[in-house]
Formats: sequence, structure tokens, C-alpha cells
Amino acid sequence: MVIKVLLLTFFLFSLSRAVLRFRDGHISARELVGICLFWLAASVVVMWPAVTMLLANLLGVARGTDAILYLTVAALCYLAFRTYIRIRDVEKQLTELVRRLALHEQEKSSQNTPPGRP
Amino acid sequence: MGDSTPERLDESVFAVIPAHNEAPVLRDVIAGLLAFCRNVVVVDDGSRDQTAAVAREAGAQVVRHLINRGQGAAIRTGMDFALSRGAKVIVTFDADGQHDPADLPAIVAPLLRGECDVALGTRFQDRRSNVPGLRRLVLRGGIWFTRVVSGIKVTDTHNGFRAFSRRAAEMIEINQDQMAHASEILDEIARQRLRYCEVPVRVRYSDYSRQKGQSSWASLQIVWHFLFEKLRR
Repeated sequence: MVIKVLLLTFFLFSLSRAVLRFRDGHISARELVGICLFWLAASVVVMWPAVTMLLANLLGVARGTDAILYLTVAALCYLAFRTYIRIRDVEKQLTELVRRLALHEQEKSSQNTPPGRP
Repeated sequence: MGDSTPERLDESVFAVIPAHNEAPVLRDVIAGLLAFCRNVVVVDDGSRDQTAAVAREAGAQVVRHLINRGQGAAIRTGMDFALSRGAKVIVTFDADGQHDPADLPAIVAPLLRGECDVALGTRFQDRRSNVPGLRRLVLRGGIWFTRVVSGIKVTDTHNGFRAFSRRAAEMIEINQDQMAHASEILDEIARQRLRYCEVPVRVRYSDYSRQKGQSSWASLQIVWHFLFEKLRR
């Protein structure tokens, strides 16, 4: 099936990227192992979709692919919210940093030049 | 106070102008304000043009954000600076030439008399402002929204011309870096139970101010930012 080939190719590509990032030192060995396990599990599901029935039965969903889909959507939504809040927090910290720098620079330059306008 | 002298306001009055790429108009705005008040602070919010140089040359004190953080962030920075220099009254003023410096004494007056903690400029209490039709509609929406969400009744919710007492400037939190700070300031006034009043001011819509200003669609984004932050409290 075309989809299987496409997905497995994509997984391999993702894996190779993870290995490259590990070599660059951007991710740790532990993170690499985690990522490898994830894509390995994904490959198993693509090769033998029947295994998802175990999960489907456990959750009370009729089809294995549906079970995977629901869980994935839920996880992605959670990640999206978390990322949004995280970014807001980082932006706030960034603003505070820019503000402190601005006030500090002003303080420094006004010490160098005596008060009074040109 | 003598009536005859063309008086400048007290030294403890600071005008704060948040400015992002406003070099073309800033000189006139600063000159206009300096006629009434000795301390004019320009917060250059990461401009790419000559905003800081123009402001300095025109006689303003300049505080520079290294990168653009938004109008709300710039106002808070300007207030912090003014407070550190002993300001007793802080006025915020738009950089784009929308506001009339001649309104400065009027907006500061109720604070100097100790009648309120915050004086809010309003363009809807007299007929001096040429507000375009669609903008009028959007602003009406803002007034209604503020009444429902923050429980504060004002005639103009998004006017950048305001005056704060030192106490109010210290108390009001501005966490909204972007444009939603206007709603946040009103919300803070209500939450902190600050005494406020409205002062009629003129708002001049020019081609420049319209081009530089917010599109009416941005109001939806403002609502979203404001509500999100309010829920997090």
C-alpha cells in the first residue's frame, strides 16, 4: 500500500533528523532513545495495524485507527495549549528583560551627560 | 497659580509617549508638549527609523527598548522611568499626533486638585473630534464590552490620552504588552477601586494616524488577549 510506504519513509526521515540533532549535541542520548521508541512504535502500528485493536478494545472504541486518532488529537490539543501559555510566559519575561535593559541604559547615559537639554 | 502667566505645569508632571517608528511626526508632538510640561519621556519601542534621535533632538528624555515589545509594554516602561525620577503625575500621550497638547493642563487639573487618581481622555463628550464612522462603531463596542466585563462605565475606552497620579501609576499592573493594555488599565482601575474621572479631549484623525493606527479588525484580537489574561488571574 502506498500509504504504508509514505509513512514509513517519513518515519525514517524523522529518525535520521533526530540522529543528526543528537550528533550536533542538541538532544541528549536519553531523548534520542525516547524519539526512536516513538517512531518504532509508530512503524509497528503502520506495518501491523491489527495491534491497535488491543488499544481499541481497551478503550471501548470500534476501530483501532479511531482509537489512535482520538488519543492523538487530544494529545495535540493539550500540547498546543501548553505551548501557547509557555510562549506567553516567555514573552512576559522578555518584556521585563527589555524594560530593565532600557532603564539601565538610560541611567548610564544620563550619568555621562549632565541633565539639561541641548 | 497666576492666571496671566503662560504657565508650564509643575516639574513633577511627566508626559510619556510610547513610539514605534514615529520619526516623521514626533518632533511636533514633543515641541507641543514641552510648551506645557518640562518632562517629556519618549519610549522608543524598538524602532527601525530615527525615532530616538528625533526625540532626543526635540528635547525629550529617551528610553529605548532594544526590540519591539508593544505599546502596553512601552507605556509601563515609561511609567517606571517617570516614577524613578520622582513623577507625581504621569500623562500618557500618543506619538502619532492624534492628541492635542493644549488639552494637557485640563487632563492634569483634576489630579492636581486631588479629585481623582486617574483622568481618562474622552473624544465623545464634545464635538471636537472627527471620528470616522466605522471607528465610532468599534469604539462603541469597546465601551459596551468594558461595561460588561470590567464593570466600569466610561464614554471612551481606547483613548491613549490619560493622566495617572503617582499612587495609581504604582498600583496599576500592565501585563498586556500589545494593544489590550487599554482594556487592562480600565480593569485595573475597577479592581483597585481607584477614583477616576473623564476629561474631554480632541482626537484628530489624519491620514498618518489612520495609516499607523489599529485596523478595526484588531479589536477582535484585543478582546481575545484581554479575556485570556483576565482568566489567568
